[in-house]
Amino acid sequence: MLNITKMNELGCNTAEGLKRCLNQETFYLNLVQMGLKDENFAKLEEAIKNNDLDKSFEIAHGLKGSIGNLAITPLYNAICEITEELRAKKAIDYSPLLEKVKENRDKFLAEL
Amino acid sequence: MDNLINPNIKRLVLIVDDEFVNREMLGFIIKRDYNVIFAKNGQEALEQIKKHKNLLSIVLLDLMMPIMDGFKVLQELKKDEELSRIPVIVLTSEKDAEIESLKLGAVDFINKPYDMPEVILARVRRSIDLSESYTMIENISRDELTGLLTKEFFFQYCERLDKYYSEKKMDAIVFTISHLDLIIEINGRSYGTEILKKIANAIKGLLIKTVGTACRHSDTFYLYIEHKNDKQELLNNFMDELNSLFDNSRSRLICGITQNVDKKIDVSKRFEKAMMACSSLYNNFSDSIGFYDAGFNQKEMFVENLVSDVKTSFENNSFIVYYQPKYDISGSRPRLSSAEALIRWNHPRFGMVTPRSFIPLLEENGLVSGLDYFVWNEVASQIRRWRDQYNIIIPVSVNISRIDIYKPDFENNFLKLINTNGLKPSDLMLEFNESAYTGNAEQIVKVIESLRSKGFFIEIDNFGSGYSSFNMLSDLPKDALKLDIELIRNIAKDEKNLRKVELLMKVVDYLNVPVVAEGVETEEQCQLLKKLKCNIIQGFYFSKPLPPEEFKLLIEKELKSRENERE
Repeated sequence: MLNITKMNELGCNTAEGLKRCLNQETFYLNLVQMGLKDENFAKLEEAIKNNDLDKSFEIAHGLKGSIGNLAITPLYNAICEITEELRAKKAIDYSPLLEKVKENRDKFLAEL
Repeated sequence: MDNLINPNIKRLVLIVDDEFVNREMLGFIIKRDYNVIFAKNGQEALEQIKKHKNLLSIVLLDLMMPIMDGFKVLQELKKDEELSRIPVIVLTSEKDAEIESLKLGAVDFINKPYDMPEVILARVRRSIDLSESYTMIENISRDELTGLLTKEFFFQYCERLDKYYSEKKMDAIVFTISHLDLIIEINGRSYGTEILKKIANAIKGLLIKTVGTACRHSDTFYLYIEHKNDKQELLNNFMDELNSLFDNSRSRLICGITQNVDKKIDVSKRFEKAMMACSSLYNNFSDSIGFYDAGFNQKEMFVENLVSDVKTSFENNSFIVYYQPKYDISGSRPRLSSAEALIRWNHPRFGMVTPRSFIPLLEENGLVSGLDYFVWNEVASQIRRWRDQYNIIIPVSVNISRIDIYKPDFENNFLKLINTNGLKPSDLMLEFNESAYTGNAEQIVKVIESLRSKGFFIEIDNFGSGYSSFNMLSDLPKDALKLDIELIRNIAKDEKNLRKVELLMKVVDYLNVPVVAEGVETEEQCQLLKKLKCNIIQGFYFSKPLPPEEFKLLIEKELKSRENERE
């Protein structure tokens, strides 16, 4: 079960995240769960596979916002990295960056 | 302003974000102090905003969203005057987007990831407070009908313009509609409103690409605008265009200007001067633009002197009642039938002052009732003196000012005069101006009806000047109608005026009352009127107004003629 201690161990800044939820732990953890299960992760993978850079950026940018708000720091950092490359529309292989996002997300999903 | 806004009302906030987590998190913070509704994209947001536009206090708007993004929402809101008043705070993590959204009308932004909840709540509260205060000031500083400023804010705003543009020469201009009440009476209130709106829009047009501001106060518009040398022509065209809106010859737009104002004097004083130039045009039908110049200073002095001399002039007998005879021309010779009392002022310093220059002043200064009463009193005594001396009754018409009618002792005054002098009510002919009926017609008709039932002779003056509709006229209590002097003046010159008089005489025939023509100066006019069966004639053709000692010669002549007829 993912809890505050576990999140902190995984490098999250839960103090920030909790503050944004007026220190309501249950509400916060609930949102964290929703954030991690966001279907946009799948949509991002799909868009990158289709080489649709605009759409990929839009989705990554959205995820950056919500994961950032939840203060899931390691996952947030990985999303930031891919978002910035997509913003610049760089013609690179996005698989390693996407993999990094997936790895970080999986770490948390494993705890749910 | 805080005290004026009830803090207990929970205001409504719309949160627009495509990310569920963000919506929920922000909603959770905002719900503490506000009622919250949500939208997942720009399109949904616009629907919600339109649906709740009267209740919505603020919109918290994400920028990057599917279907319709936040920028498009801002653009759409900006297009709509009503919706653009709802404040929007943008939710963003992008610095560039902040500038863009502020340009599009956003009032503030909240950074993602979110700041501390207290900071978010404070920013939301501040934006709502500012927007509510602004709306409130907008509402009270704007004239709802025209969108121009209200007079109170206008003067403040002029002062501000003086501060910002201290080097600029400015003009103070006043526009006013003479007899707006008449337009409303004849064409209805909504027509009057339309005219006010059209004038306001035209004034807004004058303000494009120049320094200035304008307001409306009742039927008057004030314009404070940068002085330009070629303004005269612009203003001429402006006035011509607007004056084509008025189809009634007695109502029109007139304007007074103080050019290159002296900024050392009060703003309100600058407009008083412009108003003075404007008022001088009330009875001048050839000009519609008046300039305040040095001549007005002298006029102001003249006015002040006249007004302050009224009281002593009563005491010194400087006011003299003159009498102009009215002749009945229906028979083989003109017969002296009655007279009209006309006031003259033999001012100790200015000499003979015409009523045209002092009556409006007395009206403006609330002194006209005293003068009217003086005339009525003099006339009643004079009728009695002639009766005693010649055993003849010469009924005399006296003018009634509109303000007199509202005095509670109006009717009693006449009854007292009749009793004191041992006269019959029909010896006094009471002349009411046609325009007197255009105000509170019901009350006025009641007062006049009552006088008429007691036997007083009621004359309607200035008949045909365009104030009354046929319907109004047929309802008025009356014993005689007096044709408007302007019509008589042109009757022999101009076919159109002759036709107009002919038409009026047909109306009169239907109403079955005698008609008096005043201002008759020539034989030709007299004969034309006789043909039209207008049989009571007053004017220089027979005699100018005379003081009582000269008028008595006309009585003596009349008596002699009657004696000859009997023989």
